[in-house]
Amino acid sequence: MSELSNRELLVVVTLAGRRIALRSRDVQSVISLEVMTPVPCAPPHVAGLSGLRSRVLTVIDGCRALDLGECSRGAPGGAGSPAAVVMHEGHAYALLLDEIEDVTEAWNEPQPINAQMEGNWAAMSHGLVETALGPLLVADVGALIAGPQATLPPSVEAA
Amino acid sequence: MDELLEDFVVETREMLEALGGELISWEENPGDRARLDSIFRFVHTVKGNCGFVDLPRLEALSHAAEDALADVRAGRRSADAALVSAVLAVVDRIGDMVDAIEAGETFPEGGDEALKAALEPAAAPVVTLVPATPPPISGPRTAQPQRSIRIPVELLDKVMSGVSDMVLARNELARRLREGAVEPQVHEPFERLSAIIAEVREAMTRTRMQRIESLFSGLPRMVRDLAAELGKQAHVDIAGNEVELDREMVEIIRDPLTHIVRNAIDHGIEHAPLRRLAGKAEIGRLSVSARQSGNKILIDIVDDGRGIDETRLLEKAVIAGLVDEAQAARMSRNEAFELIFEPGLSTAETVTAISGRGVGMDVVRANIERIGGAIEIDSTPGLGTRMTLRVPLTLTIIPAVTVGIGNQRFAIPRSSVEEIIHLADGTLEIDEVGGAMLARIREHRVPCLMAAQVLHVAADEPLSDDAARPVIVLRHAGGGHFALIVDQVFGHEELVIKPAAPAIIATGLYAGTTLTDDGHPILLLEVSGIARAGGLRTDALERRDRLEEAPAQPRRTTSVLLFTGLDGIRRAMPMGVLDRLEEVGPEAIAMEGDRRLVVIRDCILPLAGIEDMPLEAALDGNGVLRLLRLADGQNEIAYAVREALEIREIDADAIAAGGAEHEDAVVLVDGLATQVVAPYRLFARHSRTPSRIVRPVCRLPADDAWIQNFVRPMVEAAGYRVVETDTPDEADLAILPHDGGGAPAAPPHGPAREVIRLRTEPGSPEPGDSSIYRYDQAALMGALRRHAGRA
Repeated sequence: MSELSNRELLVVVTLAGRRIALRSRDVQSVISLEVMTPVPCAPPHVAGLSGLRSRVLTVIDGCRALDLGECSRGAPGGAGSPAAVVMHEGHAYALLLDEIEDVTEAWNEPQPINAQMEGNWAAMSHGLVETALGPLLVADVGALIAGPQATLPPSVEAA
Repeated sequence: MDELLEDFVVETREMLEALGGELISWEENPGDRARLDSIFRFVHTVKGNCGFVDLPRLEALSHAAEDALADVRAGRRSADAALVSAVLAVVDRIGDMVDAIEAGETFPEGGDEALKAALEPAAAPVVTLVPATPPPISGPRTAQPQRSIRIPVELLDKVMSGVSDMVLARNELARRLREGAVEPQVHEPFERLSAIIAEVREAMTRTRMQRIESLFSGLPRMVRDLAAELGKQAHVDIAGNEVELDREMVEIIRDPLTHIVRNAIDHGIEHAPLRRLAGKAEIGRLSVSARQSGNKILIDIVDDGRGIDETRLLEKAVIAGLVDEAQAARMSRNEAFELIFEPGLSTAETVTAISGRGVGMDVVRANIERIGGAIEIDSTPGLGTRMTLRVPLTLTIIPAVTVGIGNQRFAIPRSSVEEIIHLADGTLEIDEVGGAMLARIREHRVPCLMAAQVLHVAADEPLSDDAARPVIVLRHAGGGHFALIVDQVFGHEELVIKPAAPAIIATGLYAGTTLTDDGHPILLLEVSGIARAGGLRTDALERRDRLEEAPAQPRRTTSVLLFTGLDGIRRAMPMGVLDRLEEVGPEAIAMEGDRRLVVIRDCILPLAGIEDMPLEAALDGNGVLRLLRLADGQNEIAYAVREALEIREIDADAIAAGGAEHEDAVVLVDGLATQVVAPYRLFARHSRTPSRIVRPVCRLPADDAWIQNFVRPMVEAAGYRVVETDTPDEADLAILPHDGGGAPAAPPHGPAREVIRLRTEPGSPEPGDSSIYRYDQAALMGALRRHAGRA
């Protein structure tokens, strides 16, 4: 992963009750969701739709994607929840978060983790980085959006 | 490429495109001053521009054309067909050279002098074609083109989304103004701002629109060239140039439209003599028109050609394995026409460079459906074919009906909505039959779905009174109808549709997303997907099932040409093998051994229908021998007739019956006994492969149903006598299924001199494997003929 330089900026957030990192270049902005429209019959990790000015955001429930069950939310239905706005393959998504904490720098490239992680974390993360805030797991936003059915085998990204 | 050159290429190409129609109009009426002027302006502009970008060859060419046209304008010379062709050739060359410049290639040297020489006045005096009438005083064509600039589409999209944001901000502001006590003087500027935003939005929407003219202007030229290449005469009428549609849409439908027009000329329009016989004008007419109907643009492509031969189409579909014979027999006309869109089926008699072999209509349909459009086909044998393309006006803004399902709002494309009825209206009844709901609307009964159930949503407070519920009658992509019960209808809105994320599209229930004016997302329902999710069958599925259940359909017909033979007997020739009509003098007839041959231009064809009759008796009063020219895709023969009568539809089974042993089938047409010519036997007897007295023998396995059902008729038609596997007869040929693997062992079931093996896999076989793909009719026929000739 040469493009992940030592100085990679990370957004430190809480997702599924854990402190993790998102690569700042994956994140367009951080917002608080105003509205939330459910999408009947959509896969469970698609929490619904939200609007950001004239754009429609597809809201991704990270807990469901990771198969970690229901996460605690601000308001019922997810409105008012903090979220990271992510562009992926031409579509705009909002990744639901518990909390947005900080911005920090990665000291090294993500390293593979040779331990059993809970849920789908193995397939939905780039690996572990060291930061001033301690070791952080870097989430793979594309894998979270794709959801549990389409996960890549672990270590492909981290290798 | 430097910028100046790039501009030159783009500008020249645009002018060429706009010029396409003018050239043909001018050719038809060389006295048309307005057309002459616009062509003159083109070559003049090209010449001028060439000076800037240093293209001496192009400059010299356009200069020569300009000189010739200037002479015509000044009345020193008249526009004749030779000049028109010469100018067209120069215009083509300019186009080719511009293509080469764009591709960065060097255009091959030479050829320019011949083009320039062709522009010189002919030595012989030319009949003046310029009518005495004065040129038209003025016309919209002479209007100055609008000034325009080029901007990238991304920039346009950015501005567009900025305008959308502006509208939302305005709405938010309006809400705050209503809620808060704002000073009245704020209201007036706000109203003005609103009006301006609405205007800008409207204008921005229009920037995406383009006149369909840019799509149509190339057609006259294409039709002219194509018809000339095929030796046909055709004229195209264009209507609806002023219709506007999304510029991206214009590009998407360009290829499908071109393909359909090419098909119409190649397969639809007949050669002039056949047209005359059918009582039509010699010049085939093609009409291409566009009109707006609601939020759709309808493009009609209508030809007055031979129409689609349903019987032949079904035969091909059976041979190609798309349907079996039983299904084919039960198909309705429209179902048969639908087969045209199946991959790998072409109605072309012979494969031509123009329309290719069965790659096309399936792709055409896929392209049109990809943008939410549809394609319809209607054809009357002998009278012509109509294709209708329905495409959405724009990719982004569609009129929709917004409805409430559960406690959520959804949108349904207005184009799918047939009507909205309230249960309380009394025009509608809903019955439950075996757990399924059926709605009776006036005298029609359609399946009925509960939207909330299909989407698995529940209202917080279910409506207690079902009678208050609206029912929306929808049309799905397969053309069928169904009723959808929703909880509420809010109204009609124009919605800016945005593509939905893949995970949402994957549900099959939604076509896109949109935002209300107050920023709430709404899902656009995919009507066919809703029907499928509700367990209803749409399109292809429905067709298959209907075929299996349907009772026997009425008889099938096929077109034949009625004629009187030289022996005075009334006969019918299947149109499928009829290529054209010819007339020759006695000098065209030659003898080869005891066979008669006829020379038509550069072809020598075997002559049938004349038997042993003296040649003098075969000629008509003017010393002319009338011939039907027949082709089966492999061979051509000429068939002498006394008189060609008319084209008629007869029962298709009569043709099949004609394939039996010796005699031609006799059918009644208008109460007169008419012999139906069996073309296969005719070809077997008269093709230039040596004729034979003894019929070749072909051995077919009795236990192979496929070979017995499909191959056997072809074998018999090719003139073979068929024997079963267990007879000891010496056979000339055996046809066996290919068992795959190494060298085939000697046929275990009886002697045969040659063996054809049919393999089930398409594609090229391994070296040394001479087997034939079992659906490759042409190869099989070829092999049958070859072996018949050798035996």
